[in-house]
Amino acid sequence: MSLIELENLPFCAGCSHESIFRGLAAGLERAELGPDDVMVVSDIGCQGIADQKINLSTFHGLHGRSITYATGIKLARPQLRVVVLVGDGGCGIGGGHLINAARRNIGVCVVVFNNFNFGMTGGQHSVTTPLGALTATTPQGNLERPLDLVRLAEAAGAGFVARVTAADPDLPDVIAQAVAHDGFALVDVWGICTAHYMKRNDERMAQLSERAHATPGYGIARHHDGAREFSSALARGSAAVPRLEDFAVPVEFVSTLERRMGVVLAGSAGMRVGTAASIIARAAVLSGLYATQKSVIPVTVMKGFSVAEVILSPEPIEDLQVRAPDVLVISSEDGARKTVSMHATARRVLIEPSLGALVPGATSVEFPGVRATELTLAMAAAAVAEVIPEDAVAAAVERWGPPRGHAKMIEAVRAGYRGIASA
Amino acid sequence: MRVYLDGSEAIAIGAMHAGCDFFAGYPITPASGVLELMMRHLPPSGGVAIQGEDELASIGFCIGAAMAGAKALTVTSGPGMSLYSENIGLATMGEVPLVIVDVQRMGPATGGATTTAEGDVQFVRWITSGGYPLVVYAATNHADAYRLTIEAFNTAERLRTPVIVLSSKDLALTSDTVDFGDFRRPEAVVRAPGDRVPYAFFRPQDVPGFLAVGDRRLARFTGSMHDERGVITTDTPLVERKLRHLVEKIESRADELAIVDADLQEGARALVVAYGTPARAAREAVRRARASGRMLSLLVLQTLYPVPETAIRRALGGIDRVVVPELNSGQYAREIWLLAPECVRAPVNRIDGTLIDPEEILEAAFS
Repeated sequence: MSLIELENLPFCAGCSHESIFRGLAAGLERAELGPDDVMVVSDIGCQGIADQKINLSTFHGLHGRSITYATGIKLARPQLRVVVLVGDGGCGIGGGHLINAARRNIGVCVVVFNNFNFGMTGGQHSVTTPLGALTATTPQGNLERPLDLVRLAEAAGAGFVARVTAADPDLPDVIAQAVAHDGFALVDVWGICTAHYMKRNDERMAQLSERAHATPGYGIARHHDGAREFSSALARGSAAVPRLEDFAVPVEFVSTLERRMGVVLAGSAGMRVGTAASIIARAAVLSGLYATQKSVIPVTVMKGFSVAEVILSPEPIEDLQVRAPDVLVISSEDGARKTVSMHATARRVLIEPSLGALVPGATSVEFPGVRATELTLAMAAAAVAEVIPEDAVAAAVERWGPPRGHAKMIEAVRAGYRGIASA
Repeated sequence: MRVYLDGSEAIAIGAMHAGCDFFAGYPITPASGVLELMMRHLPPSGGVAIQGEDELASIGFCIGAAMAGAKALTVTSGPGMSLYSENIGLATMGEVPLVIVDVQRMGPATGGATTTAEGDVQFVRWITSGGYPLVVYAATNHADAYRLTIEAFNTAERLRTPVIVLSSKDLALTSDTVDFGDFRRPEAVVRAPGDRVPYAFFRPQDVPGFLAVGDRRLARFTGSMHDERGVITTDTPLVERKLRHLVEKIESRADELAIVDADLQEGARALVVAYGTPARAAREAVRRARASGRMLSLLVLQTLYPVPETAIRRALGGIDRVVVPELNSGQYAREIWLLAPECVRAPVNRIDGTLIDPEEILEAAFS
């Protein structure tokens, strides 16, 4: 059985698509590919209505997205050759995918049925319509410069790029080389659309052929082997997936907390507010409590406020929001300003001494020798000192702290417990 | 066993425990945590994880890989769901097993990238042109996020359909303490292989066996209207047969797909029906009500679509007031009001980025 049945293809009389299908059939045969080696992904457009003539697995999805499906198939079955049949229309709506597939060097061979207009929908202009050309949507002549698919693919890093016409005798050979290429390949095949483009513009196959020869990039424009094909470059290990046990926290300490407690940490980005919250939450879990940690995040990264809410409770926590904080920790001016609505409702406010004037009634606590990066942690430790053992917080730093700086962090925790005891 | 983890970790690990071996996604707050976890953990365990150039590519990769035999996951937030819409229609029409997690944030448009909201409920139900059904789960907490991700893979495999899991910023980016002591992980379902005809079914609700593209047997996949062989058709009886099948495959299984927690109190006149993070406030409200001697029933829905009608009707027995707390302006309440035409409607809605207070639910239940 031939790979493609060439009798009664569903194309208009004289349409170049028929020649390209013949070239494709001959090219696949020349590349010695069979049904076990290759499949076809067709885009929306006239080239995509002949799937049932192809005696290979076929995939026909959305307009412009054929390269994405082909990529997914290639990633799931790297040994398979995947050929994409797409029109110039599909290269417009799916242009981003074409660029990225070339850049990524995914082993997909894209054959473009380029006839300079949308044949299936009535002859509207596409991204490759020549300047001045008449189409259903450029009745005064096309004003948009055409996209050169060969130059585009080259610029994006494709290893195999060619431009041919549907009438070229070496079409099967070019397609065979493109399909055999181990990496991204693009063949821009120029052809005529007898239903629309040719009716409005004086360009038959002979003139088209002249235009193709006169356009830089004709023939095999680039053929570079050696770049690593993406799906085969991906690492595929055999390790076990993470387990829930990897997130287990044993109960090793005892807490004296009898009812739910809400702590809000308010500082500035870069002051490791989230880390401090995570440490006291985990220390609470190490001490037999339930804990949640919720962040209030600005869109900026290393600038502006940083606020985290921690809830500790002897019971499972259902209400995730701290409504009136039991302790509000303010370690910077940004944090003070962001939490104005809580200043009056918080049962206790711990504040960095230089900011004391911002919150009347707040408790100023000194943490001698603690740097700004550990200040919030010291203050957070002070906030929970009455209910969580100091050693539990130190243990949380050792097990779940950031990769470096545990000694400084543990000093800050100790300073927090000393500071609150003397305040 | 007591664990401490965030919602992104619960989703990612759930996916891997369900046998997910393909992931594609595009960075978006608050869903990027899952993307990073899958990129870190999937390749070392033999799977494929890739960051697409955009959302269109990411879901396209997943659909291609799924039809080539992979168990695929993609994760995004509201703006990404908008971009997924057309491809979710393709997955519905092409009967693609695919799991999509929507970590909801405040919309519309860019909205509040770091602000919570759960306003994608009706959007995801009706996300495809033509309005064909799919399965939607909503997690109330981290244990749900883990379990429902596994259930979603299993449902996607059993029914050859896209399945959506709703999460939100305050679930994905919040860490919580979860007791997994008596938890039984659902067994991962293995895809039922097909024979020779890629879309063969006998009764409308039957699910076609799966023929992978690119395998040794020729298989055709298409998002265009097709017959059982995957060949494009405009033949009216065949068209009707296919579309009725897409509806029946999901809707006829409403009971089987229903995952709910019913905490009904004999004699209660008020019922809270909750899903998503407001279900947590609802659990707390019920605890407080009962602690103070007031009767209150609770039905938590983990399955939103198909609507678990049987469970809802059962919970409505003897009830004359229904509270529906939602982090949107009242979306799922429409489904509940339809089933409870005689009851007093007591919606509780928040759209300001804060979570519903258990006291608001109590007020709605007893005022």
